[in-house]
Amino acid sequence: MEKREFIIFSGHSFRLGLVSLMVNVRENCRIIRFFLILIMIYSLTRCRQFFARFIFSALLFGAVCTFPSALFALDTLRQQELLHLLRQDCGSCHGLRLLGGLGPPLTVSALQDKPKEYLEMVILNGVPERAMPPWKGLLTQEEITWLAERLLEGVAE
Amino acid sequence: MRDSGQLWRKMTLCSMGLLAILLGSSCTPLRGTGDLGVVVERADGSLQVLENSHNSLLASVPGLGDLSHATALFSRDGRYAYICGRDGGLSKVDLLTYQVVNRVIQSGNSIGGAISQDGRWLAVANYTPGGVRIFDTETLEMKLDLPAMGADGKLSKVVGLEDAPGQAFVFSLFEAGEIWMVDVSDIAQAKVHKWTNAGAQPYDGLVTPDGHYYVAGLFGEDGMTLLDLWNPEKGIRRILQGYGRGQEKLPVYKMPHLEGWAVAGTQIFLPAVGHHEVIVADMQTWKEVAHIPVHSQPVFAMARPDGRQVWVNFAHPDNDTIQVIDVPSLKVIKQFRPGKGVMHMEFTPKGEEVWISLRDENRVEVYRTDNFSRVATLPAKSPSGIFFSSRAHKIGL
Repeated sequence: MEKREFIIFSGHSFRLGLVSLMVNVRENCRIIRFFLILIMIYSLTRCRQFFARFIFSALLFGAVCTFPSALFALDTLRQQELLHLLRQDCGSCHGLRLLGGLGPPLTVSALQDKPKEYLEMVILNGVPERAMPPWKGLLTQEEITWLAERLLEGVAE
Repeated sequence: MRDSGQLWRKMTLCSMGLLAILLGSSCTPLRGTGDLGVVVERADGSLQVLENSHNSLLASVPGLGDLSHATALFSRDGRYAYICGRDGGLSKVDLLTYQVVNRVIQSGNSIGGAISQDGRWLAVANYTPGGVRIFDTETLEMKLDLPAMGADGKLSKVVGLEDAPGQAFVFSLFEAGEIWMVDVSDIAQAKVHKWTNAGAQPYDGLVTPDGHYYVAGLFGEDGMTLLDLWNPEKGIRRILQGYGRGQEKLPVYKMPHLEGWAVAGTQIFLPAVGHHEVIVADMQTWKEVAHIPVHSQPVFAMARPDGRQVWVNFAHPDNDTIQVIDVPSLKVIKQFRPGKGVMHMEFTPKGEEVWISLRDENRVEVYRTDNFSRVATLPAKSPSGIFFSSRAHKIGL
């Protein structure tokens, strides 16, 4: 996952307004986002009426901001929420520092021989007969994958 | 003669000066600790010392390690708080000077503790290595190490450790499904009594405020296990079996907690595991008398000290809400959302106010329990447990 900064010039009425978007882009949403921005820039040069331009750019801006990130990638806000959830709510059982509690430790060394897919499955479906609940109703597959990746690379203090 | 007179005068002046300095330096007014308590700031590993007469925070006490799921116990004289941290740290904090006066790392991973009837021994329940360790409350010197080796031949995590009359501690073994009682009347020759087959995965326990019963909540089955502490020779029995009749158990995102405070009159209020219900049982018959539908999965069901209301908070993701049950009518009479991450509630000793910790909002709020109005908001970092020194004088807390 990488971070990319977009700078959008939104028409001559907003000539001074620089909008920078810090978004996390995954491979599969890069192209969509690129095209959306192309359409946006194109439309801004074509529209003559201020109001139409304003509406159009606002709509596209919203689409660029929300559409790909909601579908394909996690924005930084959601990532922070997930890390908070990992520490605080997973931490209820696994410990605030993930060193274990009622549930096993989730440190890098404790998980070293666990494949990512296994972690994803456990988070998704829980462990029947044990205290681990399934999180599929609360987290998306994308979010679960992201959490499994963070666990395997180690969550910084 | 004149010289010695002057000398006397000088000495008197000097001593008066010294006296003034002494008085000046010790000008902190004396105070009791009956209205003091602590808020655990779990992310920072610190405590805030609070007072509940004027609802203020007095000082921060840092350096207490990993405080996820930290429990505070209070010395019999009300001066010291003992903090059992997740990292196995056991700290003794002076509520008047705000200093950590003693700290030992007693295990790898601990969950809670209890102080004996006479105030001399402090028992800590450990996950790693599974067992109970008992310490001298004055020196924090370990006096007894009791590995929780179940009948299955393995060390179990210890949960639901409570003090009971007769210088006893009672606790449950999570994996092995056993209840143990240790009598520390003579710490050098402590006697352990074990009950096996106490139910699948006991997750917490409580001792009723009269010290008569120990109740273990079970995660692995719908039901609870009861030990009559007045007649332990009669053994344990299963109660409230199949309380979730016919309903599929929901995933549990946070284990419920049991506390002695869930007792109101002759009724006991228990959070149902995996159900959106609070179960009400009669303490004479130990039969279910009602189950009250609530907002989500309850974590704590805590009775106001007079037993007229029971306040309930909920598991993730509904941990922004509190419901208040009216005990005479067994109905929810109030629902409100103080904010994200309601972790704990602590009533003032006579119950006119309740302190609520809001972990995700970084604050603690104080509400009146008669009209539910908020009377104070105080900043705290990731607050979890709130504990008042009045716990020192209650059985099973």
